Amino acid sequence: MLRHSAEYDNIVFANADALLNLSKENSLWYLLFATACCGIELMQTGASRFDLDRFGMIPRPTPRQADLMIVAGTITHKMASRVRRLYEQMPEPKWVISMGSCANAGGPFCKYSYSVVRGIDKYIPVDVYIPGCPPRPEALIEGVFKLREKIRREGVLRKEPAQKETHGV
Amino acid sequence: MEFEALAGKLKARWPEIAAPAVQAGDRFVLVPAERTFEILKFLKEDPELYCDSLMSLAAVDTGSEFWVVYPLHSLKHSHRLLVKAVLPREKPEIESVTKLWGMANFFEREAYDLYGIVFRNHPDLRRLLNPPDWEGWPGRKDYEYPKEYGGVPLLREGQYFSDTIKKVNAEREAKEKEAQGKAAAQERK
Repeated sequence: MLRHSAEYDNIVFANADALLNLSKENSLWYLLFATACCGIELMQTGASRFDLDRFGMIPRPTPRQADLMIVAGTITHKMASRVRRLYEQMPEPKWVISMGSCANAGGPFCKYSYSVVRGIDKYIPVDVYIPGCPPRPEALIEGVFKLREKIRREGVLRKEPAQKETHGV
Repeated sequence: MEFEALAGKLKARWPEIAAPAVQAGDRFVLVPAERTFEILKFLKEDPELYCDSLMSLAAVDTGSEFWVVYPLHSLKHSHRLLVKAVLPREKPEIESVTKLWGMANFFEREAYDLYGIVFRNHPDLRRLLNPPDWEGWPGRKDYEYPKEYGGVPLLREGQYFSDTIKKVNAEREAKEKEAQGKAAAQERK
């Protein structure tokens, strides 16, 4: 991907896509946003034992500095409009990870609840789904790796195939 | 003061108050909805009763009527009393007790949100937990789940509510029983 010049050590040749993707995938700053028990797993993934910092992932308290939204937890219809609003405040390029059964499809609430959204992909486009109730930190890190693979395929002028339609708020 | 003494004092003043015997749990007094405010005011201000603390406020759907439950506690005398107001199902309306206890504000909003009980003279009676444009009262026993909210369908493809599954299973079992009965009748012939 990167090629050192033989004569000058401080000059690097690379194509623009590879260079940009390299910086994007190694600085995925994620939004500190959790609504249920998945948030506990998200917190400990960020803490010292599993240490998301190793991959250049730093939690940001504001959506305006975040590249990645990890939807960790149950989303109700009332909360979904707020999630959408946070998502719209994030600058491009931006990605979404749906973490856990609740955010994927309603989880244990799918048969009983009138208020829980059956999958956050009804409101915002999702890049990676992580199953589990809640997923272990290893699973979350694996999901992040899948997202990095996806980012590596992206181009500056060439976008990923059109994202799935959502119903909107 | 024990429960009998408290209930006796209330009954002497309002004879329509009932104190039914209970099998298990705390004893309580049932009061009519239109008298609830003055009874609670008396309970709060009478020096012998002095129930100065409203510990919680809950609503119950019994199927035929609504109850609004006021668990009272006296910090001074250290006694408790459970007061239940009975509301008709057709028109559940009751006087708000926010004038007596400020903490009743959010609890009454919650009861309004989930049961549709209207609290008269409440300072700010809006929905508390559900979105403001939500339709129906989810706490009621006859509440039917909506198909969608804001254009977003409630269920994904292939998902069912548990009562739908129960209903489908019950119908299938009834059909099987009927078929078995018919087969048995034919055999007898």
